[in-house]
Amino acid sequence: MITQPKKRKIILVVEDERPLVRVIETKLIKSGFDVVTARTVDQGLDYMKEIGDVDAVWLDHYLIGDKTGINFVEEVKKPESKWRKIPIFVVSNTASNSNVQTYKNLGVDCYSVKADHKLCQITEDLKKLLEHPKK
Amino acid sequence: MKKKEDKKKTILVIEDERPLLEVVNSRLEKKGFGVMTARSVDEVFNAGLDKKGLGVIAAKSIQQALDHLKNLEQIDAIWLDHNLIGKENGFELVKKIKANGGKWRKIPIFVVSNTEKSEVTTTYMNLGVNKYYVKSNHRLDDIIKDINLFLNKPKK
Repeated sequence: MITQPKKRKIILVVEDERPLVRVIETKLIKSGFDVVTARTVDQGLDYMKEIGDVDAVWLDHYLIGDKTGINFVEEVKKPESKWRKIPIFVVSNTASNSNVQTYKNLGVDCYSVKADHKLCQITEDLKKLLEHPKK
Repeated sequence: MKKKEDKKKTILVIEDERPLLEVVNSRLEKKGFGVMTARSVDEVFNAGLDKKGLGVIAAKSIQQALDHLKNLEQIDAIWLDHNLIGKENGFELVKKIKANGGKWRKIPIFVVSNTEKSEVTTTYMNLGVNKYYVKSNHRLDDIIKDINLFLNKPKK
């Protein structure tokens, strides 16, 4: 990297499977990110608000409680939301076409299927997106 | 504002996720607490000096370590995450705090963790922590309010 960013980028990981969270967290930290993890939609939204400068979100579809990743994205991408431009990566095993379509319609930047993508590939994609943000 | 307290209360916050650690730190400071932070058990007890591992401790580091220990003496409460950086987790921290010749035995400990496994909760309660919060069940704000209330409760 030529220019060292002043501050590490913060990735919010919203994922309920603990062992997976630890793996994702370790990988992201190794890639130079700061990570904060949440297991439910409400916890994730609380951290968005409290932390204030989350740079990207890693989101699972199925989470603890009644709400899914779709509820999270709906909240973040609301027209009046100040978080609208924060990139969201949905990483899920639930690749039903209607879900994928819903996420895309809501403006999610990337939808990856855990089984198809190695986690390190997803980490790389995330890095690329943050280094070269889309307009 | 109320009459100034004779001494500002200090909370030691141990949490491995840096963004969260920073938020908790600034929220507690806003509430008027003094805050010390750490991301590992080692950082609490050795001021992170073990990590350098060269067998040489610079004078500055010794001073740093002594200052750190002196500050540790003044802690009024501990905010503790379960998973931490390094091999030791929150259990280790609690055991060390409760051991230490009984001097720190009475410092209230609040565990704030993502883990909701009952065996983890039970172990903490048996080790003598005051409260266990599952992160996803409480907003940060509410945990802070609750701890604030606990610490400002008039002693009978």
